[in-house]
Amino acid sequence: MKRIFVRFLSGLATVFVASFLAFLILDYAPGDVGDRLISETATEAQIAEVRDSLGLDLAVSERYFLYIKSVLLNGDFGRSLVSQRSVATLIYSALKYTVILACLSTFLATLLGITLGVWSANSSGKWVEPIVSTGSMFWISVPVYGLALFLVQFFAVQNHWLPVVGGGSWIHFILPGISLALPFSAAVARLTRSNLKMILASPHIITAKSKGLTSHLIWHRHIVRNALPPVVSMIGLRFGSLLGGTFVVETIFGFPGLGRLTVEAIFDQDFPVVLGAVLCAAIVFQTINFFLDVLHILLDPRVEQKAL
Amino acid sequence: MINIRNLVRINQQAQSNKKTDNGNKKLQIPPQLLVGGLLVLTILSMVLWSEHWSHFPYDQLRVGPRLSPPSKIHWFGTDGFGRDVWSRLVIGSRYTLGMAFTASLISMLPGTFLGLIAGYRGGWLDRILSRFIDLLLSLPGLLLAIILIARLGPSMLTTAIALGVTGIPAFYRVIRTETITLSMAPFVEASTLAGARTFRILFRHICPHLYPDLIVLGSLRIGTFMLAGSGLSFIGLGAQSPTPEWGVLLSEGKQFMNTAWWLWVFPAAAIMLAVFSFNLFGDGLRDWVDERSR
Repeated sequence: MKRIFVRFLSGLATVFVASFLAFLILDYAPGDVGDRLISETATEAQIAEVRDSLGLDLAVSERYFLYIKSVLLNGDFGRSLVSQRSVATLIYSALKYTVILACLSTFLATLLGITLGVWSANSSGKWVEPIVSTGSMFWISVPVYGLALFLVQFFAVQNHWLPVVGGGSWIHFILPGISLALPFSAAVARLTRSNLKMILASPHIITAKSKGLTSHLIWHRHIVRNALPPVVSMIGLRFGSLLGGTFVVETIFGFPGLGRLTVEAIFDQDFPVVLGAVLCAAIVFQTINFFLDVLHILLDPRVEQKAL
Repeated sequence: MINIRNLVRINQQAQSNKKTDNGNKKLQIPPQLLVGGLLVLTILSMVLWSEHWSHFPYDQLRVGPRLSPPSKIHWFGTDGFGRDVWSRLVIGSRYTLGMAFTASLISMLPGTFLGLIAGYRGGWLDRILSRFIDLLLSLPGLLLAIILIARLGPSMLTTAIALGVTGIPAFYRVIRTETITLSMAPFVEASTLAGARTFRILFRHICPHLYPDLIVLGSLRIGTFMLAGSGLSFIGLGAQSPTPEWGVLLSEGKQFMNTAWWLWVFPAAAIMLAVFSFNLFGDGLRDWVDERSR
């Protein structure tokens, strides 16, 4: 329990330091924003007023403090420099789509990856080994953007079965979901397989077999419990980075998620939006990391004795 | 008599064959590593001698008709400006690979150096460095790279640097753990007793043991960085348009998706094949190194 609490605090601290780091990196050169926000005919006084309202004359640390204060107290991430809309609204509407997409592709990848991994670890033909290892390596190497283009070409352009871009209804999630899920599932399959192979060959399984346990019991008690933790944490981490926005895939499909929001904001030099999206992703990622560690402790009691 | 002699000889031969078989097994290179290595060598030769691989100047307009499909003269067809796609791909390997190599070096050098120091010294230095490295991991996936690119502006060098920074933790962690194990080895103790300086112990005695790990990690990283780097270029956050980087070629080809399949299929295939080669090589090498150290 104490360990979990400490882990929670360190996660919280990490979010703060990471957000400061992001703030520092993105800290724009003051002149730019003033120039960008007002017309060229603006007087010195007007420029000064805008700079003052944005707090640009303060030191970085002070500005960071003000920013965090408004985020924590009011949930206010500032306003977009381009559309003048509140960053919190933009992020909220984008996050919905990204969360659904991430859940969908993680679900697909887990299902496919674990099935393939377990199957290939159990089958012992001469050709299974090279086919599975080379095949999964192949899928890991597939660039998602190439795959996405192929899917668009085949399903949307040539056959008109599915729409190309947008995010209006559930059909729009299918192609991005699949393009993200396939390379992901190959990674899951590889890890599951190598893990299972190692465990199946370990002495405690041989002992369990030789003392006559049923194979159901062996799987349930000895194999799954040992094989699960690394696979779960790998899936969780990838899920976390999907939630941070999948920049390339979302951009290709014109998917209105967090990734595309971030990329577009970068092109527009709209740093409040970038900062908000980054902060949001960091919070989500750390939360997932925290729950993964807790889950790890629950799944594998040995972990709690070791240093976390 | 002859029969028995023959039998004995056959037996001896069989035994000696067995012996060499066993002896060979340790040195035998697994097919995965062999194929991966050959592919990597081919790609490297393409990078180093691009001019000999390509048939036309990559940036010359109208070397052929516009948008002509693959033919004997233009193996991979021509693009909207009548440039030869094969030549552009070959020259493009320099940019894609170069970006990935630079990024790998940028994550390898600091990661290894810090990992060596933290692993060897331990104590507060180790704790501080490890916390700092954890910080780099606090942002998921490419996000750290993305904000660095946002700040520095998209270009090939920026993307390489940004990707490189995200790769530092992987090297740091592996090298740190290995160094902790190695620093307890008798030969380190012996050279400490012989009065060797820390610097000498780290770089003369510990570092050589880390080379296999570094090569494995490095080649796997190059694969990852190629994917990420071309992906970023593809969406416009990396190399920019006239450069024939593979991601850029792919995004240029996207405009002709319905009319000219060769403009996007070949760049995509090139990226995939190159990443596949480095992954195959790295993975095979890792298995081989593990096997040998056992």
